[in-house]
Amino acid sequence: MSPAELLATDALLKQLLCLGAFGLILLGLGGMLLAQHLIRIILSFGLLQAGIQILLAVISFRPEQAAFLLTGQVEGALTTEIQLFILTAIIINLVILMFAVILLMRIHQLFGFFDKRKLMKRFYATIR
Amino acid sequence: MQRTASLIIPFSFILLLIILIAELPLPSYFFLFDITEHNQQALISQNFGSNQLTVALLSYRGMDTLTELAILLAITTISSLLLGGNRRSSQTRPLITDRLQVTGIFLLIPVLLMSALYLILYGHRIPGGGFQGGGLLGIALFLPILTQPTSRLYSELLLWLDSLSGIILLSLALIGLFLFNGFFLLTQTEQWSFILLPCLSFIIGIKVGTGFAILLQELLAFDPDFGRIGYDRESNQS
Repeated sequence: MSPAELLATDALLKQLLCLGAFGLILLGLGGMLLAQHLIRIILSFGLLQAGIQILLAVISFRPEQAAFLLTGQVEGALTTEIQLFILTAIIINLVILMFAVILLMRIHQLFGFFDKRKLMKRFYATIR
Repeated sequence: MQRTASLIIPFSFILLLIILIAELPLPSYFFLFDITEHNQQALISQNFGSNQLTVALLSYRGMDTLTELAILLAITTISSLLLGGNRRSSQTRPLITDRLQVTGIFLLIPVLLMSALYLILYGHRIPGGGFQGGGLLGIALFLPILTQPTSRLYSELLLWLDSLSGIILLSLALIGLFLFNGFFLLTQTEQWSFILLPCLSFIIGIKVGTGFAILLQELLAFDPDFGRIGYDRESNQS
């Protein structure tokens, strides 16, 4: 079976990917809202990013228009815009994660803890 | 060099923004047009390369690529600013000293370099490209730092390569924009695309790889106990 036929017949894959993406987004949002440990918040943010990227990839996934590299046909090739957008988003997200980790390292060096509540208390005490 | 690059790149973007705002005569692909048509007619029929993604990243979305590279440069600068003052002393023992692990790492590096170069140089024909190969290259450049004592020369070399590739890319983009009516020289010179595409991918790969290596190196050299009361920088050598 050629890749194009496989993509055309497999509608279940799209649904599974969609479910997985929404699951990741929910996990990430929940973790970001509920967690108190700063590293867990950053990890949840990473999950959220992954979910959004998979969702975007699923949106651009059309079985009747398989990727150009798989089929070798120029006619009806998938628009590359969404894939380019995902490629950009991956790099920007990586940089944002890096920035968050750097900030966390400085926070831990200055205060000696990773707790969100303690940090917010310090913050409000400083700006008051 | 790093300072020069971090000055030049924002100023070039400001210049481009001023041009856009002043509505000076610009090539038509700067404005909205039918992208699908452009893909199929301009890119594929002129035999630029089989991988549309890499070709599009280097041609009509070149501005996007430049912005990503500027963001990478920004994060390396930020990491130096935030963590740079808290480095371990230069005679630090390396993180990995076990003979077996060191040998394994040095066996791994050539394979990583090879696959990174393959992804970069064939990125316009197969799935791959400058960013993907650059990620692998970054790991290959970072692994020796884990096993050797901190080398000043190596860090300087990484910084120079990073800044130099950024400046080359920016100057190529600006020259193409003003002289040849196309970003990265790619729209008018389809007969040269077979050599231009791998070259541009190579420069982007070097930029991304050295950027990642510098970032990871900064994170590794960070000393979390620096500044504590009763802390001795020289005795904390682990």
